[in-house]
Amino acid sequence: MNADQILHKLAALALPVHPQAALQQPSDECLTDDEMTALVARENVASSTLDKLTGHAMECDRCWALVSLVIGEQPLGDLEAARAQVDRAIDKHLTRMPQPEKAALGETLIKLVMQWMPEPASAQPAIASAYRDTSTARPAAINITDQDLPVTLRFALPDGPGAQVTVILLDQQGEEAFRGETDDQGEVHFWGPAGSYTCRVEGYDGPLLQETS
Amino acid sequence: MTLTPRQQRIVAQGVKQDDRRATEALLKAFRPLIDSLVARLGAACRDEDETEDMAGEMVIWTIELTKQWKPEVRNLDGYLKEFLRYKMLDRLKQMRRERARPSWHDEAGRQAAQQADPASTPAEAIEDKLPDDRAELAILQAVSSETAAQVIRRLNEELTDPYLRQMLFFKLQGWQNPEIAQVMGLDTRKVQNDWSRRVVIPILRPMFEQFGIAT
Repeated sequence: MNADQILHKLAALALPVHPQAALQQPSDECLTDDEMTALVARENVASSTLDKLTGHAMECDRCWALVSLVIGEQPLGDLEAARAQVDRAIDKHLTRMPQPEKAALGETLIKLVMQWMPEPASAQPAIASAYRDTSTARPAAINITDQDLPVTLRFALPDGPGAQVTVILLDQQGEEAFRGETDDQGEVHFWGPAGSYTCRVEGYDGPLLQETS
Repeated sequence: MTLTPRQQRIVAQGVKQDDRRATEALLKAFRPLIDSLVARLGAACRDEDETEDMAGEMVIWTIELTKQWKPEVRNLDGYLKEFLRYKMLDRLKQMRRERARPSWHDEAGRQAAQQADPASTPAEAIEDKLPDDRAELAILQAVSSETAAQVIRRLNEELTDPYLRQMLFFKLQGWQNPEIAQVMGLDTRKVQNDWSRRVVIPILRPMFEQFGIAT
């Protein structure tokens, strides 16, 4: 912990934030809405506003709470409860939106198949299949162009979608460029950038091969 | 998940077309920011219903702001961080107005005003709303809030230069040097040097030692 971090923690101990104080009616000395807006923008902050921060705001519950709530870095509130509320809000919003069209699974599914479909319209799906027979092994290299993006990577097992599987794309230098977990349909979306990648599936040691169709 | 500038443009394009997957990707990418802002505003909310409404609004703001985003001007990260904070300010202003709406002359007004005024709120009610960041303060376990207050008070006394006091204010809020430099209209290096040479080395470190705070 450096001196700045310690100082920040000391402030949390010495000047605890009472979030509801931010809702108190302002006095004449308090930070105005315009001053708060300038602070959020972090530009063109008047020297009188900066002076107010070190004078009035340090002593005023309302201003300290308002500044801490809006621009402070201190963790505030119940993050777990907030996550649950946001989960519900997102679900509610997304369910009102139309379902995306799903492309049909290819028929060439042998043991383990990774299929990638360029969007939109899945015009020319390429099939990357995985076999444990290394004699015919080739790396599951896929070339993704700008026009393909975003790409849906679909991972399928013989008995259904490969859900909650981690798909990894390595760039040409062998560096991990993407890591994503498949959803219930065995799909994960890759938003780019375009390029040549090698596919890997976490927990699967056999080679992933590309089979052109 | 952090979106690269190119990914931001693709996702925003999809969001503008009301594409569900793009909207999902946007919300997933900005979940930490949304969660944090909802937690902050939620702490000021009256009850769970109000927090739920506000969480819904935060999700919609994120989507609507993304629809208005101009990629040629700035990146989506900075834009959303700034504009969601404006929305947060507006929301707080609205909450303040709602709390104050009933007239002081009637009993309902008196109760509403008391609810909005922590000074008249029972201590245990405020305690419920305080952030639980005790785990983060483990390193400072030995430091009491009294000692912390003493350190802050002493710093305020010792730093007579308004410029250094302003820096102190932002440091207390947890800001980094580049943010402080931006808001004060200075070069980051100057802020870094002045803070280190004029505050940390001559004042802060000796003060920490004096109060038995290990660095």
